[in-house]
Amino acid sequence: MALDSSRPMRYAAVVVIVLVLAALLVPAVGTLDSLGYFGTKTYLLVLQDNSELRNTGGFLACVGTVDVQNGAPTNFNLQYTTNNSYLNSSNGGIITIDGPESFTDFYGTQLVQFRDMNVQYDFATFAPLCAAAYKGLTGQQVDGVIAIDFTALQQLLKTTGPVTVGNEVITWRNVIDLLHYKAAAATGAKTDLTAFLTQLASNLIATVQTAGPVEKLLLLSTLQTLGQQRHLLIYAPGAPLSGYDGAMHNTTGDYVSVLDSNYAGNKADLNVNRTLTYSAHIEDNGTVTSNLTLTYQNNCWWDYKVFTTALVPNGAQLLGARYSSESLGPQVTASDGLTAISSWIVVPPHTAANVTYTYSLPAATVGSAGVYSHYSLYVQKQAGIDDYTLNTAVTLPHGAQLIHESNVGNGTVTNGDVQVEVIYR
Amino acid sequence: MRRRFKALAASAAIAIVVIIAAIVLLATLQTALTTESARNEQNPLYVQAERNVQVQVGESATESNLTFRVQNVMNATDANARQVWATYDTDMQAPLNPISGSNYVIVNTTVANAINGTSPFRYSDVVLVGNDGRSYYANYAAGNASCTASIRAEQIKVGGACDVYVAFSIPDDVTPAKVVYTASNPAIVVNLA
Repeated sequence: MALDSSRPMRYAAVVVIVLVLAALLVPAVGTLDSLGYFGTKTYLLVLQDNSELRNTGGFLACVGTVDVQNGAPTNFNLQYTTNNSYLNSSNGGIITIDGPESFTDFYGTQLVQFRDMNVQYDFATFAPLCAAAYKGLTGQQVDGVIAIDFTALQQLLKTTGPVTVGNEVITWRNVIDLLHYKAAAATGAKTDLTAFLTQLASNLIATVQTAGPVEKLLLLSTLQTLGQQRHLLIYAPGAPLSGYDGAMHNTTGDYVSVLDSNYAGNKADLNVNRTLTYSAHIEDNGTVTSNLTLTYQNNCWWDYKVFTTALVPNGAQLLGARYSSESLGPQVTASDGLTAISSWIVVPPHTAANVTYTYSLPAATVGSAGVYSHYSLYVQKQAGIDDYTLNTAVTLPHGAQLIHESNVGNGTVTNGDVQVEVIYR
Repeated sequence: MRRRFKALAASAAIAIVVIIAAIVLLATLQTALTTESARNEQNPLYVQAERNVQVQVGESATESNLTFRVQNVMNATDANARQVWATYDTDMQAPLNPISGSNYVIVNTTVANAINGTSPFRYSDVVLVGNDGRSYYANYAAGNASCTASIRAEQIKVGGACDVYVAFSIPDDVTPAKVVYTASNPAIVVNLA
């Protein structure tokens, strides 16, 4: 009788053990599959030039494919996007996009060049569209999309040390300039940008493969940091890499994400300093009145022209906009559960320019539990930007008593997302 | 009771030893990572070629296929240097705003074809040596339209000569000590001091 009574417990224990093992093994199997251990995987490789910003990180300077077999990348096939030589179609690489409205309404078109098609708000949305477009243009099916930007290449070389390509020594100090030089010199140049990049990638991988365990650990740490800072983005359906797909942060509180696209400002963005100043005034009725100021310090000797979109919570009502320089806008659109406020701003050489948006947010932005109220703000960094300065201020309703606050204040230079928290009663 | 206490004490001692060993291992690993990172960040040490000719700024040296002369070494913040770049770099690809903690040095060289045939020339063969003894490799090269074509084609025509401006990124606390043309045999070493 005693044995019979313990049988359900034993069954339950076995079920729990099986579930735990499955929870551990399924992601592991997914990861191994993504790394080509159960058959070669082909990824679309996208090199984003973050000195010419786009929403997902930068101008698509090069695209191509890389095979991954038993964890090792092989068969690089890179193409320079500007010459369209890789296309298996006669339409010149034109893609039809169906949003976001902030872009299509402002520019009055749904047609873009493939190299400019990363107008979506995040890489997680862009990547499958990019893979589909690439298949349409070239006929090649891919298993996922990997994007790296110029900052990532620089940081990787900082980690591995110099790499020689042909007769050239490539270091973290000269790699970005060399890529720009080779891209600009594509016509009439003896060294082709894609051949250079293919060789650089192959040599980097060879360096890593022959590296010692400490160097490999260092590289792993660098890759993780690059992923967290969205200089390295990975879209691999089925693999547990959700932290690296650059997806927009889901929040029920306040939210700001500023996405800049430089369609006519040349290779300027690594020489533009950005400051985001945000003040939230929590009204007595729980609604929030916000002031968002975006400041651009242009350190180039030419005009910096930026199409900027501030993504703020759904239901935001724009009350006003002020510009300090030549501009177009504001335009307000709504999509993906967010409100988008867009402007086009010109920042003259060696000066700063700014735009300030004033808008109201619904009362639901502030949460409450008993006598306590909770205001939270998530500031999401755009992929491709190295860092920015964040200034935040939160004004409480009349008579409210501050219990706790974090990340409120001025002059925070950050290379990642910031979560602001204020608790009051 | 006493036996149980002894077993407990032994277990605690083992746990403490394991924790201390883990801390020491982690600290050692962290130190190794930091050292490795700092080492890889630095440019390689300059190793002077056994066969070399030494000249000063403004002096020419002809070796192999080429006559090489360093006219001037400028900091990129210099108005003249910026003017050069603004004139020649018409693609606006090179804002010459350095990475944090570094600055650009622009080396103005004149290279001339010294043979009765096309002479190869690659700006990447021009290496700057800092007073820290390290080699710095070229970031950009610019020249007038004709020279830009030569730089891109990596060759100078018969009887041709070019003013080439080569930009290098070096740390703020480093000053240029030498410019070396490494493709000739012997190498041409221009002492800047």
